[in-house]
Amino acid sequence: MNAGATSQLLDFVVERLEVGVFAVDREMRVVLWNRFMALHSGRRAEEVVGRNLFDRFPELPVKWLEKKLRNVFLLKNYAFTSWEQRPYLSISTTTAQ
Amino acid sequence: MGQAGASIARVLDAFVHLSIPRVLVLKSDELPAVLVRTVGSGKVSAVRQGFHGQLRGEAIVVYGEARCNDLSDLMGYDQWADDASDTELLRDVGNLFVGACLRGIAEQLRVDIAFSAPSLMAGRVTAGAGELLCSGTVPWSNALLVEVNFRLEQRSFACHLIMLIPENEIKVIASGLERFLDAIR
Repeated sequence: MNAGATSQLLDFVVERLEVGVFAVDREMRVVLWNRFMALHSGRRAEEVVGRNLFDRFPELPVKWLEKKLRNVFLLKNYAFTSWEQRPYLSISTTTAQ
Repeated sequence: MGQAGASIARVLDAFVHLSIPRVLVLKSDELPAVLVRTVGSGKVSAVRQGFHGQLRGEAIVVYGEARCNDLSDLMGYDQWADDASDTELLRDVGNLFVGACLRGIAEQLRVDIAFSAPSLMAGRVTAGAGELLCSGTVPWSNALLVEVNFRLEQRSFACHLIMLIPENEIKVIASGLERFLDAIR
């Protein structure tokens, strides 16, 4: 498979995966928002990408989440949380298993 | 370890004191007694986190009675006061210490590692009563144990970081160290 086709496949997998995938840059601007995130947050990628995550979703616990995200940039390490404890953005998942 | 201390200090914005690492090789049945000698016999809470890839093992962060409560504002948890947040703060701080230390070790040994999600291993148990870890629960017979304790200046926080590396992984460290020494010779 050539590089172009591999990249297309990766885009497809990230987009269609039944898991929320999003990415932010150091300024907390959203750079990636997949289909799962769009369906579960009720916000399409066009409405979110390029915007500051916390401006777009003011209901988020800013201090906690921003600290967690900044630590990832600072330490180049993983950070973890579990949706059972923090079900933000999972507006329509309460009945899903 | 010094680099790990510096990273943690940047995240917590506080000066971090760390002990000289204690290293020993032990048999699995000696582990419960070694843990009690290391962390004391009082009430403790502990978080465990596995690491895998080219170097495998398990890291345990043990907190004393005060747990991480003194860090809740630094980690952004002061907006909540519930049990779920209390537990997640323990896991978050555990992940910070484990990640900072093992990332540094993996970089120096030039091995690629990944981490499992941290989980609560013990919540306010009595270490001296053998409640922290029972013998016979670990899947190896001999392991390398590395222990460092951390203390924050001007805060009451302190914890022990214990890394356990099974004996068949010790060769990864040996070859990594050889590469490291070759590079600086």
